Amino acid sequence: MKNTKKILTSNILWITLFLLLAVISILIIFIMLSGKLTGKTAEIYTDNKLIRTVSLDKDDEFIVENGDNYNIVRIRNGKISVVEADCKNQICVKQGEIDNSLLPIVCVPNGLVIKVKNGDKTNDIDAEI
Amino acid sequence: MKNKDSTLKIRNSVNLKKYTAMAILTAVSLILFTVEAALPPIPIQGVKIGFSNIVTLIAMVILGKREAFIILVMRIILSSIFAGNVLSFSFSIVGGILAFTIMALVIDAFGEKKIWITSVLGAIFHNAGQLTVAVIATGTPWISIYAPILLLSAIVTGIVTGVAATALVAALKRQ
Repeated sequence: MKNTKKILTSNILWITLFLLLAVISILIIFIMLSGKLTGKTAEIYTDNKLIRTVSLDKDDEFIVENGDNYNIVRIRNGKISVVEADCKNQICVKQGEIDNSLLPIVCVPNGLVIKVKNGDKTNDIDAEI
Repeated sequence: MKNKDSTLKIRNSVNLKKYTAMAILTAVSLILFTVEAALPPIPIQGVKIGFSNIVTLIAMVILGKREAFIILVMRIILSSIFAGNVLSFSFSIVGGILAFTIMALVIDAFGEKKIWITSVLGAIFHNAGQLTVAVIATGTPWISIYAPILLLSAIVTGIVTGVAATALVAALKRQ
């Protein structure tokens, strides 16, 4: 009984376990990075509703409003970013430009998500509502 | 009669000591939280070192779990009043309580020498809680794509705060 507890709380066991978890996470991140993740269109969601699909080929700047909140989105040189937002934490602005689907821009306070779509097909569909 | 009086006095002074320690630790925790917020941000959503967890761990070891829980909740409420909103409050409280629960369950088994294991487990559950809140808040299940990144960061930051807490507990016990 005492031995079981000793094994269960041993440094070796937990170092191995955490190392294993770390390696698996790194592998998953690496796989996500290495895949063909760059895209030429981006989907913009507010409160999980797709409100707009934009092409990243054309430079553009526009406002996405959600209730009283807003985010200003900019497309430049095939990359998309949030340049201004009225949210408190400004994490979406600090994330900078993205051109892949690896880490979507998420502005939790304003319910905004910008997701770059995989694939090389360019669809010039602007679904504006 | 006299005897009863003096035991009452001793108990009061013990309580006073404990409350003072709790107040100081709450203040330290708030300062660490503020300092961390002022540091250049890590440009990945949800990745934080979580210095405040050092205080929770120390409080658990030197004051007790109940006291540590009060300090944690006080810190979350105060930091949300100073620099947050309803959303950041729900993020903090869910992550904080989940981390606290798991750490309170395992800290006795690992003891003072292996605080780092407790700390890593706490960090993993903290991030899992926050990811869950983020999924619910934005209604977008696929942001769980962050899970491996958050898991990796929990292991690294858990080790950092755990090692710091171990060193501080050892230093406090020496006095």
